[in-house]
Amino acid sequence: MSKTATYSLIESQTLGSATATVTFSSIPGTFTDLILIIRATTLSANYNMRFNGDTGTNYSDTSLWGNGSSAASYRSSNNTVIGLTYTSSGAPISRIQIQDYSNATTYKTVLTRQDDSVNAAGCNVGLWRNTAAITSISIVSPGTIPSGTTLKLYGIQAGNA
Amino acid sequence: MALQLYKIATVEVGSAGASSIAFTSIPSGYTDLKLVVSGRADGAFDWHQLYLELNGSTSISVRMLQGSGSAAASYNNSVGECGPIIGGSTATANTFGSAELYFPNYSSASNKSISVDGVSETNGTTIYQILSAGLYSSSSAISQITVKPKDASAVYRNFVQYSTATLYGIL
Repeated sequence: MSKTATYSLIESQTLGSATATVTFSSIPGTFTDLILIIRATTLSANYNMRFNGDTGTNYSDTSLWGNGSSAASYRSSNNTVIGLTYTSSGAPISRIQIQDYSNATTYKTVLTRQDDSVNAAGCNVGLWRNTAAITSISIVSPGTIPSGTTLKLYGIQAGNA
Repeated sequence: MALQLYKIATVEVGSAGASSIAFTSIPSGYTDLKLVVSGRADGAFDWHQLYLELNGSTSISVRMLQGSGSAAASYNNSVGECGPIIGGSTATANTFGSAELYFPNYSSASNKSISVDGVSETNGTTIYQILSAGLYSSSSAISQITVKPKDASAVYRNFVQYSTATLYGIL
C-alpha cells in the first residue's frame, strides 16, 4: 500500500505588526479540504472569517461554548462574517476545517474549534451561502489582530485506499 | 508537495499495563504537535479523566466543555485534568476512549496553549464528549508529554493492554 501526503503547508504568516485583516489569496483548488490554524497572541478585539472578499450578509454560524462554569450556544444568521472567537481577550487557538472548498456547486460548510484557557473552550459550524470555489480566506477584526499571531493554512490530500 | 505531518513515536501498552504513557526528548524541529490517544484504564468505572503533564509539570489550567448525552456543562481546573475521555473496566468490552491533543507553537518562548477533543465510549446511556482549552504557562519548549488516567474516585489507575498513543509533528 502506498502512502501519499496528508497535510501540506500552503502558506504560513506571522504578523510583524497588528493588522485588521490577514488574507490567504490564490489558494490552489487541488486539495480536498483546507485546515487553518491560528495561534493568537493577546487579543484586544474579536476576529472572524470571510471568503473570496465577500462582505455581503451571506454567512451564518452556530456555536457552543463552555467558560469553565456554564455552557451556552449561540446562533448568528445573515451575518457578514463567520465568528471565530468567544471574547475579545485571551490568546485563543482556532482550528478551522473547510470541507470540499473547491467545488463550484454547493454552499461551503466550515467546522471550527476555538480554545482559550482564560475564557472558554468551544466549537462552531459555519456556512457561506455561495457556490463559488474558495480561492481566498480573510481573517478580519473590527479592531486589530495582534502582532506575533501565527496563521498557517494547510491543504489536505486524499489518501490512497 | 512534501508530507507535512510526521509520526514521531507510537506507544502501545503491553499486557502488564502502564500507569502512564510518556514521550520524552521530543525534538523541537516542528511547528506544532498532535497527540492521539486511544485509552482504557483498569478502574471499575465507565470512564477515567485524562491527566496531562508537560515537562513533568501538572500546572496546566483547563477550561472544559462537556456533553454527557443528556446535558452540557462546563468546568475548570489548574491541574491538567483534560476530561473524562479514557475508558474504564465497566465500559463495554474492547471499547476505548479517544482523544486528540493539539499543541501549536510548542517550542516557542511564550506560554503554550493546548486544544483537546475527546470522547469516552460505552454501550450505555451516558458517555462524555469534551472540548478543552489548556494553558501551560512556561517559556520552555515542550520536550516531554505524559498522560495518566485517574478514576472517578480521584485515584490514578493503569492503562490496560492495547491502549495506544501516537505523537505527530506538524510542519
